[in-house]
Amino acid sequence: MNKIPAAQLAAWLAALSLIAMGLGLMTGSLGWEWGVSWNDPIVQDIRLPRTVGAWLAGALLGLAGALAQGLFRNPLADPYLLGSASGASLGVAIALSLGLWGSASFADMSEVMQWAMRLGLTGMAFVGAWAAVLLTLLLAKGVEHTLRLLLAGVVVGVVLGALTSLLTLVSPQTLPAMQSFLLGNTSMLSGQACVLMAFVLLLCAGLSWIFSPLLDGLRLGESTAQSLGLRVLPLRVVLLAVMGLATATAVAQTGLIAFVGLVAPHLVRARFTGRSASLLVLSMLMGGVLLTTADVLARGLWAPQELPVGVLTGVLGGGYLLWRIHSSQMAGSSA
Amino acid sequence: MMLTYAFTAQKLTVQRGSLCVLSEVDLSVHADQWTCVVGPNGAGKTTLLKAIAGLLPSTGELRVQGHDLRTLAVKDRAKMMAWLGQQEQGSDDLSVQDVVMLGRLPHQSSWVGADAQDMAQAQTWLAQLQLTHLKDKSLAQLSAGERQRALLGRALAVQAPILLMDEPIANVDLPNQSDWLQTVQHLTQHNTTVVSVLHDLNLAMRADHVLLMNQGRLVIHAKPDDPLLHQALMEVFAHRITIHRVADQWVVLPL
Repeated sequence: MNKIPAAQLAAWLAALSLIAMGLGLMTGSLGWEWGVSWNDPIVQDIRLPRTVGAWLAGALLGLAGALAQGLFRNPLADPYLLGSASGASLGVAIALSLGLWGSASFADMSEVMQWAMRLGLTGMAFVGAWAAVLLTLLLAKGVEHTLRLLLAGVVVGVVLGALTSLLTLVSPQTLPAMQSFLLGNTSMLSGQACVLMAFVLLLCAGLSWIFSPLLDGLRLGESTAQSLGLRVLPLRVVLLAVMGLATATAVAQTGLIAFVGLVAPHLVRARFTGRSASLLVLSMLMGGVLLTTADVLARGLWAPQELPVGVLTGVLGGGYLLWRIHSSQMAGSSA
Repeated sequence: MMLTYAFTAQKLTVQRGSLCVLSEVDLSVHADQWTCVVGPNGAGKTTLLKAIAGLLPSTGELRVQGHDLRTLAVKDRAKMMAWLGQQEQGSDDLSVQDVVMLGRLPHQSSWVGADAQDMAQAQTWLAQLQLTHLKDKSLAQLSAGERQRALLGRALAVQAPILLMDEPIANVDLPNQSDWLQTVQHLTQHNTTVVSVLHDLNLAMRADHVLLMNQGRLVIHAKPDDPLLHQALMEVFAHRITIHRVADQWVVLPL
C-alpha cells in the first residue's frame, strides 16, 4: 500500500473528523436528520458536546495507544495494557460505591457541583490508572522486559476487573451507572467534559511531542536510544504518566471503550512511514475519527434503539484485528 | 609520529549479580585507528564494548581526551562516542532517511528538533553510503546489506570521534563486507577511531590492532603481525585454528 506524507494524511483525517462531526450533529434519537438547525437547543446542548466529546475521547485513546505501542515496542500494546483502564474503572467504581456521585444525575446538580464531580471522577480514574500502572511495574520489576510487563499488565487487568465486579455486587445502587460505564457510553458527555478533555489532550499532545525522540530512539532498541543521549528511564516514566493521564481522562468521561487505542495507530501505520512525533498526532486524529464515527453508527444504526458505543468499537475493532492477523498469516504463508 | 590515545580504561569491571563478566580490563585505544575485539563466545567482547559506551553499569576508570567519561552529560557523551549494536533493530515503518536522521538526536534539543545542518549531515552520509536513492524506502523494503548500511549511516551521522560497533557485518554478503572495510578505512583516515567486535578472525586481522578477550579478561592487545598475538589466539581457541600469511594478509583457518 502506498504511503502518504504526514501533512497529507493529517489533512485527510481532519476532513474526515469534520464530516464525522457533521454527521454526529445530524444524528438524533430517531436516527439521521438531514435538515438540522444550528440554533436548535438539542443540537447545541446535547449533540454538539456529545459529538465533540466523542472525538476528544477517541483522540485521547488514539494518542495513548500510539504512546503504549511506542514505549513497549509492541504493536499489540494499548492503553488497556498495564491494567491502566481496569485501574481507572476501579477508581470510578470506588467513587460511585462511596456515594461520591450520590443518587443525583449530573443534570440535577449545580454547575460547580458538576465540575467537582467530573474532576473527582477523573481524579479517581487517574489515581486508579496510576495505581494499576505502579502495581504492574512492581510485578514486572521495571519496564526493561517487555514480555514480563505485558503479562503483569494482563494479570493486574484481570484482578482489578474482578474487584470492580465485586464492588458493583456489594453496592447494587451503582449497578446502572457502572453498567453504562463498562459498556462505554458517550451519551453523558457535556460541555464541561469537553473542556476537560480538550485541556488534557493539549497537555498530553504537547508533552508527547516534546519527548517523542525517546520513542524514535526506542524504535532502534534500548541500547541505541541510550547511546543517542536519551535518558531512557526518566523519559519513559514521563511518557507513561502522559499515557495514564490520557487514558484516565477518556475512561472517566466515556467508560471503557475498547480497541480505539489499539487500532488507531495500526491504521495510521498502514499509510504512513515516519517519525514518532507525526505518528502520535496522526494516531490522535485517527482515534477521533474512529470514535466519532462509531458514535454516529451507535446512534443511527438501530434508531431509536441506541447501541453502547463500547460494544460497537469492540465488535469493529476485534474484527479489524482478526482481519490483520489473517492477512499477516496469509502474507507469511505466501512468502 | 606521536601516538595518541582516543580513550583509556583502567580496571574496567562489570558485575552481573555475583558473576564478574568483565574483570579489571586495562587498555589504551589508539586514536584514528581501527581496533578489533575478538574472542570466543562468552569472552566478554560485547560487555567490554557496552561498558565503554556507558550502556552497562561498570566500575573502574574511563577517560576520553582527559575527561572522565562518567562525569560527562549524557548528550556530550553521545556526541563523543557513537554506537552501532549487534543486529540493531530498526522499526520497519521508519524510512532510511528517518533512521539516518536519528543519528543527529544528540545534537538536537527537545524543543527545536532537526535544523538545516542536521539535514545536510544526514544527506552527506546517505550519499557516502550510497543510500540516497533508497532514502524514502522503509527498512522493511531493504536487503540485509542495505539495511545494515542504513543503520551504519545512523551511527555515522552522530559525527562522533569514536565509533563503537558490535558485530556490524554479521549476516551480510562479501561485497557488503568489502564496502564496510572501505568505510572503516575512510573513517580512520578522517580522524575517527573505530572499535569493532568481529567474530570473523580473517576480517579482524585486517585491523590496525587486535584486542583478544577470554573469560572476561583482556588476554593481549597487539598488532595483527605480532607473533605473540598469533600464539595467544591459538591458545584461546584451544589450538583448533591455524594462522597463515597469504597474499600479504593474515588468514585464520579452522583445523
